[in-house]
Amino acid sequence: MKQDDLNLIRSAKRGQVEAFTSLVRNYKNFVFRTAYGVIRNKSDAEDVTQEVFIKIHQSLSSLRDEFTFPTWIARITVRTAIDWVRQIGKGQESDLDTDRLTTVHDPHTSSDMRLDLEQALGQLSPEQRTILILRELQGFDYEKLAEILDIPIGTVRSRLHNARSQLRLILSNERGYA
Amino acid sequence: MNCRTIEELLSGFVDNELSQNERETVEHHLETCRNCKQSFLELQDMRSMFVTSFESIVAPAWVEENVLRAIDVKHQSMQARRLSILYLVVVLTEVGAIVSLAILPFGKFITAIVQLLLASLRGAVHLATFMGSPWLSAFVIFCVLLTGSALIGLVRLLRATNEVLL
Repeated sequence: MKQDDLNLIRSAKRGQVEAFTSLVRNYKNFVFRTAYGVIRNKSDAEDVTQEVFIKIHQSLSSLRDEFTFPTWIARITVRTAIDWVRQIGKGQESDLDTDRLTTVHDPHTSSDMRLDLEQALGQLSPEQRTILILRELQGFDYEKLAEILDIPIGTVRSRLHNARSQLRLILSNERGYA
Repeated sequence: MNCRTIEELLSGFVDNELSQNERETVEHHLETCRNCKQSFLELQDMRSMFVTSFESIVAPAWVEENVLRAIDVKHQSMQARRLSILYLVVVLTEVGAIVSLAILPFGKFITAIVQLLLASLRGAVHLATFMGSPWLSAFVIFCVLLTGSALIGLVRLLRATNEVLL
């Protein structure tokens, strides 16, 4: 973590609004992408992002070690996003943007790659999506993943293996990925 | 080691989370097994697929503004809640004080003092009416108060002068 962020966290803990605003600016993409990966809906991910930062503002003073901020913020994001999924759409399909679904499908463009991945992720459980996003996109190691998800490292290992195997299978069925 | 066991280790291998022994075993196997090598490459592709797919996903510009506004609204409603709790506590304290005055022996003593003061006040009013002129009574009381404050002022002045002389 950068020294600037550490200073911002310390200042925000003392109640400086400008420092907290800068923290939101620096971490909003991290939170939004993680939430979007779990929820797969832009509007809901925006609401979750806002909720996460409000929670952070409320409990920042209780954060003892500033170095654990990324893990802490990831844990809050993941819990809020998974709660959101369970509350809003138990068994409901996420509403992917229809304009992207109707475009001509070319597997080589990044937008189609994203669409394929999003659709494949939709067939995984929220827990599997979460661990894949945290590992593949945010790059947390197994120890941090265990801390964020509050599970043993052995479970991290097996959950990642299962999630990847299932995702590979879905992708290969969808577009002959394998 | 067979392909099934290697397949289970591949995820940890891609993440660089295997022990030295496990890592060497997988590396050795990948040199000879085409299928497992293909699985390994697919896992690597999957990571770059995640990065490429999500790099265009960015949070809206208004997030900071909305978050601060929401925090402000929450803060205000919390303040209002605290204030209403304070009012409730004050009202309950007052009710408690009144009940204590009515029931406890100390409360009865206070009530007697207040009643005595009220009776004295009532007596003063009756005296003024008896004298026939309430305005004259008010003037006398005013003169007494003025004389009292003048005496206090004089005493303080004398004390200050003595301190200077000493």
